[in-house]
Amino acid sequence: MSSRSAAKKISRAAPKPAAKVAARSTRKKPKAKLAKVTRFPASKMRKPLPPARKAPQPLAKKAQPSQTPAPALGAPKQVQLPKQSLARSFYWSELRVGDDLPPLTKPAVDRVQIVRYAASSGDFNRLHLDEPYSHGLGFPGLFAPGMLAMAFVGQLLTAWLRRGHVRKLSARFVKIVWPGDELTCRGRIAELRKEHGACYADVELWAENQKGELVLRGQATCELYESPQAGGVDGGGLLFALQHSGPAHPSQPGRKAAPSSRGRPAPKKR
Amino acid sequence: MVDRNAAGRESKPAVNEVEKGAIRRFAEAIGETNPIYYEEAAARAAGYRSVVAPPTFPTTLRAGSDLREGLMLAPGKHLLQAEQNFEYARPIVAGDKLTVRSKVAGVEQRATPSGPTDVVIIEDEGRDDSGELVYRSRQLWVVRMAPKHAQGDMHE
Repeated sequence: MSSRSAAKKISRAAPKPAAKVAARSTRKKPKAKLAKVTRFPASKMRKPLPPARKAPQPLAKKAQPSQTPAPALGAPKQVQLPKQSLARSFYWSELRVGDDLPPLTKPAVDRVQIVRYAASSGDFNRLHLDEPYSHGLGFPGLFAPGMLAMAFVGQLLTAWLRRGHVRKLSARFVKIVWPGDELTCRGRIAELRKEHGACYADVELWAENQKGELVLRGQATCELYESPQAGGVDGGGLLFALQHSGPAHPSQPGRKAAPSSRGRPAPKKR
Repeated sequence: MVDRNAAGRESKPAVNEVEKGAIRRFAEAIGETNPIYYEEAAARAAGYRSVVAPPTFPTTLRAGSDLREGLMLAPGKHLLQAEQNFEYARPIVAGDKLTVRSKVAGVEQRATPSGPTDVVIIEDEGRDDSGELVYRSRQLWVVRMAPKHAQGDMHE
Protein backbone atom coordinates (compact mmCIF):
# COMPACT_ATOMS: atom_id res chain seq x y z
CA MET A 1 0.00 0.00 0.00
CA SER A 2 1.51 3.32 -0.98
CA SER A 3 1.81 6.21 1.40
CA ARG A 4 -0.36 8.14 -0.98
CA SER A 5 -3.34 5.90 -0.51
CA ALA A 6 -2.76 5.98 3.18
CA ALA A 7 -2.85 9.74 3.08
CA LYS A 8 -6.04 9.57 1.14
CA LYS A 9 -7.56 7.42 3.78
CA ILE A 10 -6.58 9.78 6.51
CA SER A 11 -7.88 12.80 4.74
CA ARG A 12 -11.15 11.03 4.22
CA ALA A 13 -11.42 9.72 7.68
CA ALA A 14 -12.68 12.91 9.22
CA PRO A 15 -15.79 13.67 7.19
CA LYS A 16 -16.98 10.08 7.18
CA PRO A 17 -18.65 9.82 10.56
CA ALA A 18 -20.49 13.04 9.91
CA ALA A 19 -21.75 11.72 6.62
CA LYS A 20 -22.82 8.53 8.30
CA VAL A 21 -24.74 10.44 10.90
CA ALA A 22 -26.46 12.40 8.20
CA ALA A 23 -27.29 9.27 6.28
CA ARG A 24 -28.69 7.63 9.35
CA SER A 25 -30.77 10.55 10.38
CA THR A 26 -32.25 10.97 6.93
CA ARG A 27 -33.44 7.43 7.17
CA LYS A 28 -35.93 8.29 9.82
CA LYS A 29 -38.90 6.60 8.25
CA PRO A 30 -38.20 2.98 9.10
CA LYS A 31 -37.35 4.07 12.56
CA ALA A 32 -40.71 5.64 12.99
CA LYS A 33 -42.31 2.46 11.82
CA LEU A 34 -40.27 0.37 14.17
CA ALA A 35 -41.14 2.61 17.06
CA LYS A 36 -44.77 2.11 16.30
CA VAL A 37 -44.36 -1.62 16.32
CA THR A 38 -42.65 -1.36 19.63
CA ARG A 39 -45.77 -0.04 21.15
CA PHE A 40 -47.91 -2.77 19.78
CA PRO A 41 -47.88 -5.26 22.64
CA ALA A 42 -47.89 -2.52 25.21
CA SER A 43 -51.23 -1.27 24.03
CA LYS A 44 -52.76 -4.47 25.33
CA MET A 45 -51.27 -4.01 28.74
CA ARG A 46 -52.62 -2.12 31.66
CA LYS A 47 -49.36 -0.46 32.56
CA PRO A 48 -47.52 1.35 29.83
CA LEU A 49 -43.96 0.03 29.76
CA PRO A 50 -42.63 0.26 33.27
CA PRO A 51 -38.89 0.46 33.01
CA ALA A 52 -38.36 -2.17 35.68
CA ARG A 53 -35.64 -4.41 34.36
CA LYS A 54 -35.44 -7.03 37.00
CA ALA A 55 -38.99 -8.08 37.46
CA PRO A 56 -39.55 -11.59 38.72
CA GLN A 57 -39.61 -14.34 36.14
CA PRO A 58 -42.96 -15.00 34.58
CA LEU A 59 -44.95 -17.66 36.37
CA ALA A 60 -47.95 -17.57 34.15
CA LYS A 61 -48.01 -15.73 30.92
CA LYS A 62 -50.94 -13.56 31.82
CA ALA A 63 -49.45 -12.03 34.94
CA GLN A 64 -46.57 -10.56 33.05
CA PRO A 65 -46.62 -6.80 32.84
CA SER A 66 -44.71 -5.64 29.83
CA GLN A 67 -41.20 -5.05 30.86
CA THR A 68 -38.63 -3.57 28.62
CA PRO A 69 -34.92 -3.89 28.87
CA ALA A 70 -33.84 -0.54 30.12
CA PRO A 71 -32.37 1.15 27.02
CA ALA A 72 -34.27 4.38 27.29
CA LEU A 73 -36.23 4.93 24.14
CA GLY A 74 -37.04 8.33 25.46
CA ALA A 75 -33.64 9.97 25.30
CA PRO A 76 -31.86 8.45 22.33
CA LYS A 77 -29.02 9.86 20.32
CA GLN A 78 -29.97 9.79 16.68
CA VAL A 79 -27.10 7.52 15.83
CA GLN A 80 -27.97 4.96 18.41
CA LEU A 81 -31.64 4.81 17.74
CA PRO A 82 -31.76 2.09 15.09
CA LYS A 83 -29.79 -0.29 17.21
CA GLN A 84 -31.88 0.30 20.23
CA SER A 85 -35.12 -0.07 18.44
CA LEU A 86 -33.91 -3.36 17.04
CA ALA A 87 -32.84 -4.51 20.43
CA ARG A 88 -36.23 -3.77 21.77
CA SER A 89 -38.13 -6.85 20.89
CA PHE A 90 -41.17 -8.17 22.57
CA TYR A 91 -41.65 -11.50 24.10
CA TRP A 92 -43.78 -14.51 23.76
CA SER A 93 -45.13 -14.06 27.26
CA GLU A 94 -46.56 -10.70 26.23
CA LEU A 95 -48.54 -11.99 23.27
CA ARG A 96 -52.20 -12.97 23.20
CA VAL A 97 -54.10 -15.15 20.80
CA GLY A 98 -56.18 -12.88 18.62
CA ASP A 99 -53.75 -9.97 18.74
CA ASP A 100 -53.40 -8.23 15.41
CA LEU A 101 -50.04 -7.53 13.90
CA PRO A 102 -49.59 -3.91 12.86
CA PRO A 103 -50.83 -3.84 9.26
CA LEU A 104 -48.53 -2.90 6.42
CA THR A 105 -49.80 -1.02 3.39
CA LYS A 106 -47.35 -1.13 0.53
CA PRO A 107 -47.02 1.44 -2.24
CA ALA A 108 -48.88 0.35 -5.37
CA VAL A 109 -47.11 -2.40 -7.28
CA ASP A 110 -45.83 -1.10 -10.58
CA ARG A 111 -44.16 -2.61 -13.61
CA VAL A 112 -40.74 -1.45 -12.57
CA GLN A 113 -41.09 -3.23 -9.28
CA ILE A 114 -42.17 -6.38 -11.08
CA VAL A 115 -39.09 -6.19 -13.30
CA ARG A 116 -36.84 -5.54 -10.34
CA TYR A 117 -38.33 -8.45 -8.51
CA ALA A 118 -37.76 -10.73 -11.48
CA ALA A 119 -34.18 -9.56 -11.77
CA SER A 120 -33.39 -9.97 -8.10
CA SER A 121 -35.13 -13.31 -7.78
CA GLY A 122 -33.81 -14.69 -11.06
CA ASP A 123 -37.21 -15.93 -12.17
CA PHE A 124 -37.99 -14.56 -15.59
CA ASN A 125 -41.39 -16.09 -16.16
CA ARG A 126 -42.75 -14.24 -19.17
CA LEU A 127 -46.19 -13.92 -17.67
CA HIS A 128 -44.79 -11.28 -15.36
CA LEU A 129 -42.57 -9.45 -17.82
CA ASP A 130 -43.82 -9.80 -21.36
CA GLU A 131 -47.07 -7.99 -21.97
CA PRO A 132 -47.81 -9.45 -25.45
CA TYR A 133 -47.06 -12.93 -24.14
CA SER A 134 -49.45 -12.74 -21.22
CA HIS A 135 -51.96 -11.09 -23.52
CA GLY A 136 -51.59 -14.03 -25.85
CA LEU A 137 -52.46 -16.37 -23.02
CA GLY A 138 -55.65 -14.47 -22.39
CA PHE A 139 -54.66 -12.16 -19.60
CA PRO A 140 -55.41 -8.46 -19.85
CA GLY A 141 -51.73 -7.79 -19.32
CA LEU A 142 -48.72 -8.75 -17.29
CA PHE A 143 -49.07 -9.16 -13.58
CA ALA A 144 -46.97 -9.55 -10.46
CA PRO A 145 -45.77 -12.96 -9.35
CA GLY A 146 -47.51 -14.24 -6.26
CA MET A 147 -44.13 -14.42 -4.58
CA LEU A 148 -44.00 -10.62 -4.56
CA ALA A 149 -47.13 -10.45 -2.44
CA MET A 150 -45.66 -13.15 -0.24
CA ALA A 151 -42.54 -11.05 0.20
CA PHE A 152 -44.73 -8.18 1.40
CA VAL A 153 -46.34 -10.45 3.95
CA GLY A 154 -42.86 -11.56 5.01
CA GLN A 155 -41.99 -7.92 5.56
CA LEU A 156 -45.01 -7.46 7.78
CA LEU A 157 -44.03 -10.53 9.74
CA THR A 158 -40.37 -9.74 10.31
CA ALA A 159 -41.05 -6.09 11.13
CA TRP A 160 -43.34 -7.30 13.85
CA LEU A 161 -41.16 -10.15 15.02
CA ARG A 162 -37.91 -8.28 15.57
CA ARG A 163 -35.54 -10.63 17.33
CA GLY A 164 -37.69 -13.69 17.00
CA HIS A 165 -37.29 -16.00 14.06
CA VAL A 166 -39.54 -17.29 11.35
CA ARG A 167 -39.54 -21.08 11.32
CA LYS A 168 -42.25 -21.61 8.74
CA LEU A 169 -43.92 -19.40 6.22
CA SER A 170 -46.49 -20.48 3.70
CA ALA A 171 -48.85 -18.74 1.34
CA ARG A 172 -51.57 -19.48 -1.12
CA PHE A 173 -51.97 -17.02 -3.94
CA VAL A 174 -55.68 -16.43 -4.19
CA LYS A 175 -55.99 -13.61 -6.67
CA ILE A 176 -53.71 -12.06 -9.23
CA VAL A 177 -51.91 -8.86 -8.30
CA TRP A 178 -52.00 -6.36 -11.17
CA PRO A 179 -49.79 -3.36 -11.71
CA GLY A 180 -51.35 -0.50 -9.77
CA ASP A 181 -52.70 -2.71 -7.01
CA GLU A 182 -52.08 -1.41 -3.55
CA LEU A 183 -51.75 -4.25 -1.09
CA THR A 184 -52.38 -4.16 2.62
CA CYS A 185 -50.90 -7.02 4.60
CA ARG A 186 -52.38 -8.13 7.87
CA GLY A 187 -51.73 -10.75 10.47
CA ARG A 188 -53.21 -12.17 13.62
CA ILE A 189 -51.89 -14.48 16.29
CA ALA A 190 -53.69 -17.78 15.92
CA GLU A 191 -51.93 -19.86 18.53
CA LEU A 192 -49.26 -19.66 21.19
CA ARG A 193 -47.47 -22.81 22.23
CA LYS A 194 -44.41 -24.11 23.94
CA GLU A 195 -42.53 -27.15 22.71
CA HIS A 196 -39.36 -28.55 24.21
CA GLY A 197 -38.74 -25.30 26.01
CA ALA A 198 -39.08 -23.17 22.90
CA CYS A 199 -41.86 -20.65 22.49
CA TYR A 200 -43.80 -20.45 19.26
CA ALA A 201 -46.44 -18.17 17.87
CA ASP A 202 -48.54 -19.33 14.94
CA VAL A 203 -49.66 -16.38 12.91
CA GLU A 204 -52.33 -16.09 10.26
CA LEU A 205 -51.41 -13.76 7.47
CA TRP A 206 -53.28 -12.31 4.57
CA ALA A 207 -53.07 -9.56 2.00
CA GLU A 208 -55.86 -7.68 0.33
CA ASN A 209 -55.89 -5.23 -2.54
CA GLN A 210 -57.33 -1.73 -2.64
CA LYS A 211 -60.77 -3.14 -3.37
CA GLY A 212 -60.63 -5.22 -0.23
CA GLU A 213 -60.27 -8.48 -2.18
CA LEU A 214 -58.20 -11.21 -0.65
CA VAL A 215 -55.14 -11.81 -2.81
CA LEU A 216 -53.06 -13.99 -0.52
CA ARG A 217 -53.65 -16.14 2.49
CA GLY A 218 -50.78 -17.47 4.56
CA GLN A 219 -49.51 -18.83 7.83
CA ALA A 220 -46.30 -18.52 9.74
CA THR A 221 -44.72 -20.15 12.74
CA CYS A 222 -42.37 -17.94 14.67
CA GLU A 223 -40.03 -18.69 17.51
CA LEU A 224 -39.70 -16.00 20.14
CA TYR A 225 -37.96 -15.32 23.37
CA GLU A 226 -40.21 -16.12 26.24
CA SER A 227 -39.33 -13.08 28.31
CA PRO A 228 -36.68 -10.37 28.47
CA GLN A 229 -34.74 -12.41 30.96
CA ALA A 230 -34.65 -15.51 28.84
CA GLY A 231 -33.91 -13.65 25.65
CA GLY A 232 -31.52 -11.05 26.81
CA VAL A 233 -29.01 -12.94 28.84
CA ASP A 234 -28.30 -16.41 27.61
CA GLY A 235 -30.43 -16.94 24.58
CA GLY A 236 -33.15 -18.71 26.51
CA GLY A 237 -35.51 -20.72 24.40
CA LEU A 238 -34.10 -19.74 21.06
CA LEU A 239 -32.71 -22.98 19.85
CA PHE A 240 -30.88 -22.08 16.78
CA ALA A 241 -30.46 -18.40 16.36
CA LEU A 242 -27.51 -17.85 18.58
CA GLN A 243 -25.46 -20.70 17.26
CA HIS A 244 -24.92 -18.74 14.17
CA SER A 245 -24.94 -15.24 15.44
CA GLY A 246 -22.92 -15.23 18.62
CA PRO A 247 -24.23 -13.52 21.73
CA ALA A 248 -23.96 -10.08 20.23
CA HIS A 249 -26.65 -8.69 22.42
CA PRO A 250 -26.67 -5.00 21.80
CA SER A 251 -27.45 -3.91 25.32
CA GLN A 252 -24.37 -5.66 26.62
CA PRO A 253 -21.41 -4.28 24.77
CA GLY A 254 -19.11 -5.81 27.32
CA ARG A 255 -19.78 -9.29 26.00
CA LYS A 256 -18.73 -8.53 22.51
CA ALA A 257 -15.48 -10.40 22.83
CA ALA A 258 -17.22 -13.74 23.01
CA PRO A 259 -18.70 -14.37 19.55
CA SER A 260 -15.39 -14.77 17.76
CA SER A 261 -15.28 -18.50 18.32
CA ARG A 262 -17.48 -19.00 15.32
CA GLY A 263 -17.67 -16.07 12.93
CA ARG A 264 -14.86 -14.98 10.76
CA PRO A 265 -11.28 -15.21 11.89
CA ALA A 266 -10.33 -12.44 9.50
CA PRO A 267 -9.85 -9.43 11.77
CA LYS A 268 -6.93 -11.01 13.56
CA LYS A 269 -4.53 -10.47 10.68
CA ARG A 270 -3.74 -7.02 9.60
CA MET B 1 -51.06 -32.37 -20.53
CA VAL B 2 -48.10 -32.61 -18.30
CA ASP B 3 -45.41 -35.21 -18.43
CA ARG B 4 -46.46 -37.43 -15.58
CA ASN B 5 -43.20 -39.25 -15.59
CA ALA B 6 -41.66 -36.08 -14.28
CA ALA B 7 -42.62 -37.05 -10.75
CA GLY B 8 -39.54 -37.99 -8.79
CA ARG B 9 -37.19 -36.28 -11.19
CA GLU B 10 -34.31 -34.57 -9.44
CA SER B 11 -31.98 -31.82 -10.42
CA LYS B 12 -28.28 -31.75 -9.90
CA PRO B 13 -27.27 -29.88 -6.76
CA ALA B 14 -25.78 -26.42 -7.10
CA VAL B 15 -23.90 -24.34 -4.59
CA ASN B 16 -25.38 -20.91 -3.97
CA GLU B 17 -23.31 -18.35 -2.19
CA VAL B 18 -25.51 -15.92 -0.32
CA GLU B 19 -24.15 -12.46 -1.03
CA LYS B 20 -24.88 -9.20 0.69
CA GLY B 21 -25.47 -7.51 -2.63
CA ALA B 22 -28.02 -10.12 -3.63
CA ILE B 23 -29.85 -9.68 -0.35
CA ARG B 24 -29.78 -5.92 -0.78
CA ARG B 25 -31.16 -6.05 -4.29
CA PHE B 26 -33.88 -8.45 -3.27
CA ALA B 27 -34.78 -6.28 -0.28
CA GLU B 28 -34.89 -3.21 -2.50
CA ALA B 29 -37.08 -4.96 -5.04
CA ILE B 30 -39.68 -5.88 -2.43
CA GLY B 31 -39.51 -2.46 -0.78
CA GLU B 32 -38.02 -3.64 2.50
CA THR B 33 -36.83 -0.89 4.80
CA ASN B 34 -35.49 -2.88 7.74
CA PRO B 35 -31.75 -2.16 8.10
CA ILE B 36 -30.97 -5.78 9.01
CA TYR B 37 -31.27 -6.54 5.28
CA TYR B 38 -28.87 -3.77 4.30
CA GLU B 39 -26.33 -3.06 7.00
CA GLU B 40 -24.00 -5.43 8.67
CA ALA B 41 -24.00 -3.38 11.88
CA ALA B 42 -27.77 -3.40 12.15
CA ALA B 43 -27.91 -7.12 11.49
CA ARG B 44 -25.31 -7.82 14.14
CA ALA B 45 -27.10 -5.61 16.62
CA ALA B 46 -30.18 -7.69 16.00
CA GLY B 47 -28.24 -10.85 16.78
CA TYR B 48 -27.29 -12.12 13.31
CA ARG B 49 -23.82 -13.04 12.13
CA SER B 50 -24.14 -10.84 9.06
CA VAL B 51 -26.75 -9.26 6.85
CA VAL B 52 -29.75 -11.54 7.02
CA ALA B 53 -31.99 -12.65 4.16
CA PRO B 54 -35.72 -11.86 4.09
CA PRO B 55 -37.92 -14.92 4.61
CA THR B 56 -38.81 -15.37 0.95
CA PHE B 57 -35.21 -14.99 -0.20
CA PRO B 58 -34.68 -18.74 -0.79
CA THR B 59 -36.80 -18.29 -3.90
CA THR B 60 -33.70 -16.73 -5.44
CA LEU B 61 -31.55 -19.80 -4.77
CA ARG B 62 -31.29 -22.30 -7.56
CA ALA B 63 -30.53 -25.94 -7.99
CA GLY B 64 -28.51 -27.18 -10.95
CA SER B 65 -31.45 -27.08 -13.32
CA ASP B 66 -34.97 -25.75 -13.47
CA LEU B 67 -37.29 -28.73 -13.35
CA ARG B 68 -40.19 -26.71 -14.66
CA GLU B 69 -38.54 -26.67 -18.04
CA GLY B 70 -38.72 -30.42 -18.51
CA LEU B 71 -42.45 -30.79 -18.00
CA MET B 72 -43.42 -30.80 -21.68
CA LEU B 73 -46.52 -28.72 -21.41
CA ALA B 74 -49.04 -28.82 -24.22
CA PRO B 75 -49.32 -25.66 -26.34
CA GLY B 76 -51.29 -22.90 -24.63
CA LYS B 77 -50.57 -24.33 -21.23
CA HIS B 78 -48.46 -22.49 -18.78
CA LEU B 79 -47.46 -22.68 -15.17
CA LEU B 80 -48.67 -20.32 -12.52
CA GLN B 81 -47.52 -20.61 -8.97
CA ALA B 82 -50.40 -21.05 -6.56
CA GLU B 83 -48.72 -21.96 -3.28
CA GLN B 84 -45.40 -21.63 -1.55
CA ASN B 85 -44.17 -23.11 1.72
CA PHE B 86 -40.89 -22.42 3.45
CA GLU B 87 -39.39 -24.09 6.48
CA TYR B 88 -36.26 -22.72 8.05
CA ALA B 89 -33.88 -24.49 10.38
CA ARG B 90 -32.11 -21.21 10.97
CA PRO B 91 -31.93 -17.76 9.45
CA ILE B 92 -30.01 -17.45 6.19
CA VAL B 93 -27.24 -14.87 6.37
CA ALA B 94 -24.73 -13.41 3.95
CA GLY B 95 -21.73 -15.67 3.63
CA ASP B 96 -23.73 -18.88 3.72
CA LYS B 97 -22.81 -21.40 1.05
CA LEU B 98 -25.91 -23.42 0.44
CA THR B 99 -26.11 -26.50 -1.68
CA VAL B 100 -29.54 -26.49 -3.25
CA ARG B 101 -31.32 -29.54 -4.61
CA SER B 102 -34.65 -29.62 -6.33
CA LYS B 103 -37.05 -32.38 -7.18
CA VAL B 104 -40.48 -32.89 -8.64
CA ALA B 105 -42.37 -34.16 -5.64
CA GLY B 106 -45.56 -34.81 -7.50
CA VAL B 107 -47.65 -34.34 -10.60
CA GLU B 108 -51.29 -34.59 -9.67
CA GLN B 109 -54.72 -33.80 -10.86
CA ARG B 110 -56.94 -31.77 -8.58
CA ALA B 111 -60.56 -30.92 -8.75
CA THR B 112 -61.20 -27.22 -9.10
CA PRO B 113 -64.37 -25.24 -9.79
CA SER B 114 -63.44 -25.24 -13.48
CA GLY B 115 -62.77 -28.96 -13.65
CA PRO B 116 -59.76 -31.15 -13.06
CA THR B 117 -56.50 -29.28 -13.18
CA ASP B 118 -52.94 -30.56 -13.23
CA VAL B 119 -50.64 -29.36 -10.54
CA VAL B 120 -46.92 -29.83 -10.20
CA ILE B 121 -45.24 -29.84 -6.82
CA ILE B 122 -41.57 -28.96 -6.69
CA GLU B 123 -39.53 -29.24 -3.54
CA ASP B 124 -36.16 -27.65 -2.90
CA GLU B 125 -33.82 -27.92 0.00
CA GLY B 126 -30.69 -26.04 0.93
CA ARG B 127 -27.88 -27.40 3.09
CA ASP B 128 -24.88 -25.61 4.42
CA ASP B 129 -21.20 -26.56 4.28
CA SER B 130 -21.53 -29.11 7.01
CA GLY B 131 -24.53 -30.75 5.41
CA GLU B 132 -27.03 -29.32 7.86
CA LEU B 133 -30.45 -28.60 6.47
CA VAL B 134 -31.03 -24.84 6.38
CA TYR B 135 -34.33 -24.49 4.56
CA ARG B 136 -36.95 -26.39 2.64
CA SER B 137 -39.18 -24.93 0.01
CA ARG B 138 -42.28 -26.43 -1.54
CA GLN B 139 -43.96 -24.85 -4.52
CA LEU B 140 -47.26 -25.77 -6.04
CA TRP B 141 -47.67 -24.82 -9.68
CA VAL B 142 -50.96 -24.95 -11.49
CA VAL B 143 -50.91 -25.98 -15.13
CA ARG B 144 -53.19 -23.47 -16.66
CA MET B 145 -54.83 -23.28 -20.07
CA ALA B 146 -55.06 -19.90 -21.70
CA PRO B 147 -58.41 -18.63 -20.41
CA LYS B 148 -60.92 -17.12 -22.76
CA HIS B 149 -61.83 -14.49 -20.27
CA ALA B 150 -59.13 -13.80 -17.75
CA GLN B 151 -60.81 -13.16 -14.49
CA GLY B 152 -57.79 -12.81 -12.34
CA ASP B 153 -58.68 -15.84 -10.32
CA MET B 154 -55.99 -18.44 -10.08
CA HIS B 155 -58.16 -21.39 -9.28
CA GLU B 156 -61.06 -21.04 -11.61
